[in-house]
Amino acid sequence: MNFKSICLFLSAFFWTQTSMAKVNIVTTTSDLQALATAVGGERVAVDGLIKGSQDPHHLEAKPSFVLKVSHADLLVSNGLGLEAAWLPKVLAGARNKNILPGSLGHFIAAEGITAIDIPLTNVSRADGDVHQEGNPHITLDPERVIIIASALAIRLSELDKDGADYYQQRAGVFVKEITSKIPSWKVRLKATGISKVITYHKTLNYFLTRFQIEPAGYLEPHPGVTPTARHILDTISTAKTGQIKLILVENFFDDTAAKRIAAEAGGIRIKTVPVAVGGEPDIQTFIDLYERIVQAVEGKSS
Amino acid sequence: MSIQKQSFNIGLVAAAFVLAACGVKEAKKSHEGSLTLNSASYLVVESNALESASDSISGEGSVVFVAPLIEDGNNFNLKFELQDSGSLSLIAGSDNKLLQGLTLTFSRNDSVLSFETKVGDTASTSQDMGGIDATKQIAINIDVHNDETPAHILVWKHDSTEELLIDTEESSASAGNGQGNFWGLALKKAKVAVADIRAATNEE
Amino acid sequence: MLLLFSYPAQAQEGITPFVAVDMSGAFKVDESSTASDRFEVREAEFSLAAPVDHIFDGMFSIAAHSEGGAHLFELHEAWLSTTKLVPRIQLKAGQFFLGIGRLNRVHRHEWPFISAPVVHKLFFGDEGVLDSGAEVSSLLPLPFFLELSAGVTNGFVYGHSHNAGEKPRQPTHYARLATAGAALSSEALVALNYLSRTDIANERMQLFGADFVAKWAGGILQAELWQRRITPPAAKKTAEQGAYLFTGFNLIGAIATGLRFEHFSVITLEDAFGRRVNNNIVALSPQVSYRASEFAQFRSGVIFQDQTQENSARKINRTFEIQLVYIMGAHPAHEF
Repeated sequence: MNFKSICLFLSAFFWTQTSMAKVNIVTTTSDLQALATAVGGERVAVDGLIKGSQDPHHLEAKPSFVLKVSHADLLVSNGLGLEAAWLPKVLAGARNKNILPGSLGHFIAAEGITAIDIPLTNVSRADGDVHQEGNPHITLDPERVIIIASALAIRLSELDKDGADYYQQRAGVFVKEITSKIPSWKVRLKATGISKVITYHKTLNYFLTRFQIEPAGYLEPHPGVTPTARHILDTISTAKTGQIKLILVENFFDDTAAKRIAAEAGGIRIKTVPVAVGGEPDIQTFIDLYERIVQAVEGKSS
Repeated sequence: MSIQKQSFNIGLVAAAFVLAACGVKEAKKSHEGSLTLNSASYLVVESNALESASDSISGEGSVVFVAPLIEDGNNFNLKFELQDSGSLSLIAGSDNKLLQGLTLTFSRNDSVLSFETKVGDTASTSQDMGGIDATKQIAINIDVHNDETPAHILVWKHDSTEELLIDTEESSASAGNGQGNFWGLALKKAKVAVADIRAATNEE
Repeated sequence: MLLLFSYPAQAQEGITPFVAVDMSGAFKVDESSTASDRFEVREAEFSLAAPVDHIFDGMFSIAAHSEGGAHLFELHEAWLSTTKLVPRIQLKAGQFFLGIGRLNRVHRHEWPFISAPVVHKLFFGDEGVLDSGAEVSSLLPLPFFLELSAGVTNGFVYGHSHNAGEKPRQPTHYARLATAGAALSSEALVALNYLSRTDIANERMQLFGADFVAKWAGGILQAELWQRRITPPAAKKTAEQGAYLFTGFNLIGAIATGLRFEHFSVITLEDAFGRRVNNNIVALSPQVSYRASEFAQFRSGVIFQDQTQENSARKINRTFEIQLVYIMGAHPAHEF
């Protein structure tokens, strides 16, 4: 083997290594992990910090989070204050300047998204854990998820120019899959006759609003505050006068308060629902997730 | 080896053991019979006709208490009498030879009691302690906070008034800090009836 | 102190102000206790954190501590830091709590118990060691968590002192190596620490320590073990050693319970004859907490402390403690 052959071999070897190097993506939530996987495909390696069954509000900046983020090429976070309690500490500990807010390597899903439930006045902690910029649970809306997927494809293209066509194509497939399901979900939900629902927290508001179901009340007296006896009584009254037929409880919350209200008000179904991809073992995609919530409203058992 | 020689050797060894045991016992005796004041053992460091009784130490000389100081802040309870021109020094935070300590000296001149501190060659200005009759038995409580620089010293009357007599933060009368973890007394024409120690109360 | 800025201006500058108030009381359970029998504001801290520019972040805090009943405001922390100059490295300069141990790196109002363990009180003070200098830390580029920190500070004083101190022979310098791992739903972090300083009198102090914390859903296990060696220029070396182990877990709802065990001993303690003197401080402190939210909590507990020393009277100290902590404003994310 002569010198020229060796050079050719080494060049080819390193070129293939470069070509095969994946974009290392770390996401905060499991929803964003599913989205990054759907859009990024084989050109990315995706790791999520939070499991689908965990409440994203109350976490700590664990060393394992810091380690993952320190190796990331792209950090995908939700925004709107969902990770405010812990993400800044993770970013500081990771010491990875490529993924700091404002850099190409930090994608905030909520940017470019119109939020709902924006407080009309300045709020304080007396109002509970209220997000001043709006409700952060944006991935519960299939239409908004489509927008995020497209924006993520563009960001990935900026980071990995060689993969631009690939990401655009995969984002297109993802968008088509979701949009093809939306009309049938609308029809099925309308057929249930359910127009108002009580939930534990405001997690499902984007989903409910999209499908024209009114969030009629919450088991929490204020966001982040566990149901009080006084508030349960008020909610029983709301359920009776509003003729509420359904209470949906996010699967990381306790359903005791819901059961009490249902028993007192009468004629109310309670369904515990996953609210994130990965929230239950068989919820592996956004379609699985939205389908499960539709079925919960329909009253079908999981 | 003959039986006689074996017996002699055994006897020699046995005698050596007995002597050694006696010797050990003798050494132990010197610790067991150590001098005490208010149940606290002490060693005599210097003596010039120092008298040690079960309830007092008097005369001229110095003693170091056997148990080491554990706290950085200690409270000393002293009850003593001074002859005219006599003095009693409390040495806090010294080594076991009373060196490298912070010396607090109470001296009598007629009926006036004065106070000064010293570390090595550095001495504070002597100040008279008003409110104390040096001709009578003196009962005082002394806090020495050796964790401050210089050591913060407070002296109170040990009676119902608990009058504060000295505060070195006000009078700048502390000469420094003790470097060791023992304490003792140096007497000159003095008689000490009580020398007690406990942890100082936290100032904050 | 009067601070004048409006909310919109703060938001534009990215300034996050917050106030943390720590109120505590210690009361005698019996005559043996040395407790102050007083409930008061132990510390009130006002802090600002913000990006200074595109490279640096700044932190500023002042705190008032109760000293003999009076509250004096003093500078707590004021430092500049960045992770944008050198890859994978954080640089910090200013006045700060030294990045060593567990409790010393966390503000007291965030501790999982009310008062400092004996070993911390004796080696670091009631709160912790603050000094001015520089610290560099790095998360090493490895597939597992390994974080190395090192710092140098003036060392004119060590611990909480109001005097200017004197220039040491060797400034305070320290290092910490931490690693972490996760198993099931829990995560743990363990670290080795070293600190040294030689004062103007040529007395060298060295601290060797290990700290550990493990957390799982609703539970925490935390421990520190320290040994301090002091080498005076013309006297025997002394060594002291102490440790604490704390475990806490949620009971029901917002109520949690905890238990701390401590031990401390002066290893080299000798009497005037040069004989080793056995000595120990042992303490057991159960506590209960009510956590209304992450911004307000109430705690109470009892300290059972037993101090023994050969040929000395045994000292038993029983103290009842209470604590109220509240935070106003946007408190930065909590340490793991």
